[in-house]
Amino acid sequence: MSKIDFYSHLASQPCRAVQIFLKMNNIPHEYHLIDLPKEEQTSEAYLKINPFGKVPAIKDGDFCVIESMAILQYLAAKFSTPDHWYPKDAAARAKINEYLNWHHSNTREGATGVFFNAVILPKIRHQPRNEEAITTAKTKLSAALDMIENYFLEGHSFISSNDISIADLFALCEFSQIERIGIDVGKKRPNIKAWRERVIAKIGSHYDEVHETIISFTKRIDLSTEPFE
Amino acid sequence: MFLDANNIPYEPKYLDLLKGGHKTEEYKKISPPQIVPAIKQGDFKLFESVAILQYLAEKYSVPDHWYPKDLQKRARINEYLHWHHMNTRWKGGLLVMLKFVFLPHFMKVEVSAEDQKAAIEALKGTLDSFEKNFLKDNKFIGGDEITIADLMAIGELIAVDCLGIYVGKGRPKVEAWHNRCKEALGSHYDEAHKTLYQVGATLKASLSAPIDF
Repeated sequence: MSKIDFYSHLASQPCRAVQIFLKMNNIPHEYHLIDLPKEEQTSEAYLKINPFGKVPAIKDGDFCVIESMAILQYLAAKFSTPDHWYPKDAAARAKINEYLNWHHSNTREGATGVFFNAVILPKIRHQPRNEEAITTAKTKLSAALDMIENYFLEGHSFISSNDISIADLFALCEFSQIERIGIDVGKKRPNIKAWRERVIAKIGSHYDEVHETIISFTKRIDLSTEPFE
Repeated sequence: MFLDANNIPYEPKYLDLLKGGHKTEEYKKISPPQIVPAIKQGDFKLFESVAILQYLAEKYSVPDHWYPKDLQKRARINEYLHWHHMNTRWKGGLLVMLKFVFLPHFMKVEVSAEDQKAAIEALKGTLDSFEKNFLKDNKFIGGDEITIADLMAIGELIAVDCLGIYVGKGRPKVEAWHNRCKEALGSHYDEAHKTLYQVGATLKASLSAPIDF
């Protein structure tokens, strides 16, 4: 089987989720760095792969797939990865899909909203902090964390499941992003705290490897802890 | 539309959203985030419309075209389904409904003309992407037969029709796609949109001015 071409920049949360999955499942792939700071994502060459100019994307022979969750759904099926990643049982799969679809306008919108408005806008684009946007994002994030704490993890060791799935990778990578500004999602939420430790333990050495980029990226910027309850 | 088109037996449980029917403790047990739609089958409960459609397609062995088992065809549908949330919905139909109806009239929150104009521009941008990257030259999203992706798109894009915004205006590809969906769904389309158009008449009348689209 030929290698999967993987287009990515590991400062991106969804790219990290895909990278972790590729590594943990030993899926042969070729990593193509898309240089986000140099705006390579809007190059003519890359737009042929992803017309939206976003990372990640994959190419399997001539077949391109965009949207990180669609990518993992495709890879799980194509490579017949262990069932727990994306269970075949209709009800079990439905529960993972429930989280995946809810994630976009809840976990991601909240966490990315905080990171974008507290880091990217002021520190990279040198624009004034939009306090209203930050407050809105924090409120969204808080509500999302409460739902994860009280529903998605209630009675489960992982999101809606008793084994790790692709849902956990997406949540974890949003949280590792805001960890760079001192937000500890497990601080007041014991289920989340324990879940996070479990997921990282499962991922093992890949976790640190995959996070090298975002850690060095944020070390180069003057970042302070963002208050969050 | 999916339940009806596939003759899946179900018991409709109507929730009066305007009267906070989704905010009850009883509904919270079925859908903890208190959002619609949700399904319940014995002890099994599920929210998130996309997850519901994917579940029903699998569980009831519906005709393959709805959510093809072929990896590549399914990938195209999944790509759309994930893009849908923050684009067709939050930079499209829902955003327009929020800025023109839900905020000013139901939540009594003022929305500036600038914000409303931005919502219309966002919808236009989303429609451009929808046509170019998802419809392309296909009859439906990603292929030549109707899928659950089309149902999700119809839901958001046609909602604004009740406000006098027809997404097919000046967009023959979108119009043709919409007509194909209506044809494929027949009476199930009309039935599903009955309430929208009933409520829509009141919503449209509540607008301070016709929407420039």
